[in-house]
Amino acid sequence: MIDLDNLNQFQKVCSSRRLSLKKLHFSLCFPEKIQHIWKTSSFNCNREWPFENMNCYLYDYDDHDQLIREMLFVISNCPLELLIDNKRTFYSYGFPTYVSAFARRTVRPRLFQWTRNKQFRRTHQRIVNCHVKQFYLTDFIKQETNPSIISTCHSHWNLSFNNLRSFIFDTDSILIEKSQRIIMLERILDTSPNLSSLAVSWEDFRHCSRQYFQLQQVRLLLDVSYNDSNNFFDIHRLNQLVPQLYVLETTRGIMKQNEYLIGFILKICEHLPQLIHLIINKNSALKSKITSKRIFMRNLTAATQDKMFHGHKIHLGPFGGSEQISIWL
Amino acid sequence: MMHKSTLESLPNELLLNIFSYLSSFDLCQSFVDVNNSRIRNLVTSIRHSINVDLIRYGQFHEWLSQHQHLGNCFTDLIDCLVLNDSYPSRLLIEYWTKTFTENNRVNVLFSSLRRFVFFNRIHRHRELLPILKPLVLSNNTLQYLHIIFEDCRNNYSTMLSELVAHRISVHTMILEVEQGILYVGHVFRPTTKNGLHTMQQLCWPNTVQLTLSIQYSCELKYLFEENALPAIEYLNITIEDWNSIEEYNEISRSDSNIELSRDSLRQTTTACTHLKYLVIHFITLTDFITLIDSLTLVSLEELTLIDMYDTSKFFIYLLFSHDIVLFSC
Repeated sequence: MIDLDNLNQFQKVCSSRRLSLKKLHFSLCFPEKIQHIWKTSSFNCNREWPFENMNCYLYDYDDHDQLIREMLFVISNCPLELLIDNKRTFYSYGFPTYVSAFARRTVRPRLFQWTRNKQFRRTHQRIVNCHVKQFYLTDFIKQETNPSIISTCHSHWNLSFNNLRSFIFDTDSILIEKSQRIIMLERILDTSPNLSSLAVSWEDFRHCSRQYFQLQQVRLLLDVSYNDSNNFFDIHRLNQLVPQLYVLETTRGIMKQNEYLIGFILKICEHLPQLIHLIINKNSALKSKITSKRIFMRNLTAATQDKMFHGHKIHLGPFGGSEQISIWL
Repeated sequence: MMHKSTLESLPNELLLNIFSYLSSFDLCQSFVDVNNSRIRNLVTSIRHSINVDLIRYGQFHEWLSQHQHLGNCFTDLIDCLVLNDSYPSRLLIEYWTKTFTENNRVNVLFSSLRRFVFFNRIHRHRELLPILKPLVLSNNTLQYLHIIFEDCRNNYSTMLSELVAHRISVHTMILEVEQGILYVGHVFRPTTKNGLHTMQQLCWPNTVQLTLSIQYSCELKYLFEENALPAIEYLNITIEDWNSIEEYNEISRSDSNIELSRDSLRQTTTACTHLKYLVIHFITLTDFITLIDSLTLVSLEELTLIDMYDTSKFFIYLLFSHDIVLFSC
């Protein structure tokens, strides 16, 4: 049985003289059906709340697989920026309605994730001033495709993500046109002067038109498994795009451990002299035979010793059998 | 006649501008031994930080060997150190640990270190503790300890337990859990073994600002016990509680220690004379009312309650299993 008895007590505790608060902020979640009880109760209009700005709204929750679609009824007196400062993650398409400029810094890293493009432009406008450190853009077009909304982004993107440090651009390549994807990616890169870390599909990134001097770390999300070193990615083009690349990682698409890969690694080290860490097949789940790994490691060590005269350190995988290759230059 | 400009003749403003393009490592390696007191003073007046992952393999070994043979070098100037789960960070920890001996517990490697940030993505408490224990001694300078955990599984509680057992207490302590249960991937069945009630008595006398996660609301009482946090002014608590209400009730029935009751709070807790700011995430209305009724918070000025919930199971499931919220307009 859901009722508002606890709320009554809460109101009394907050108003009691035992607490002499200068500020009280709260957000209180109920099942959706409490909304009706709330509207007919006296809580929403009585004058016993020792604070102002009482607000209530519905959180629309729906999970990735659409198994649960529920609404939460929230009673709150928090400004939304305070909520955002205190939450770990936002996963939102409607949230910009509530967002205003931010004034506070917090210790928690922010991860914002969008699922739909519906509110993309407004969201972007609203978060430019907040202290978002990580921005995760993924599958936002899954539900509905409306290119005109993306087009309207252009004129509104003369703002700047000054606090953004990390950006993950991992959108569905089937559901959104390539040209549109590249426009969005370019816009975010152009408006983030302090961005140092980027995770992006090479197929999107290689078409970007400028040089991104602010980037230090790039994780390339590769499409499929390759055998041929010519198809991994264009090292020369990557060097043009990110002239100050210190950490390069590749993930998702597996580069098989063979002689092509050794040649490719040497080529990377030669063409990207500023590189400090190269990590191939990061977090790969695929496992190959220990014997073939030993041969690969022996050949790679021999090749790098011949070609790279300054010190370096090679590791295979964090765990035995993993396809990850880490080189510290 | 043409006037010849040298680096030494440049004004401070220009030099500082040039310095801003260099990492602390490069800057100190290049300028700290320059035979010009103005430039040297300028370099030493800046607050330096170091990210070991952006130092080359060769430079790293040269630096450590320089420290080993010549003693103090630029590391004396480091104010903030950031370590990851990377191979270079691991090497540095190994070297750093060796600089502490039974007889000499002074931090000779980073003698001015005030802030230490550690990304603890894998199980590393055994490596970190030999450094943390001497670092918090009175003759060392550490003021700010920020450890970031990927999630709140065993890794987190083991580290917390060690920090409690060794009374590792500095002015600002942030034990940050980055991700809610959604990113962890599946529901855990933690036992009550990992809570504060199973650890040694909490006693962090130097801690003024604290951010931490606990499993159950009942653990709150250990934070307010006499001598637990006598200097605390800012307290930010997240009650992670992975279990549904049914599981919680089962545990509660089997273990009376984990209930938050007025009696137990009144018996064990003491008046919080300094606490000014209290932030609690994911507390139930009932637990909050019990807590406020039983505690004497004489200096409390600001209270923030984020995602407080009624005792309905549905919310606990939703909030704890997803920790992600969608707003709907």
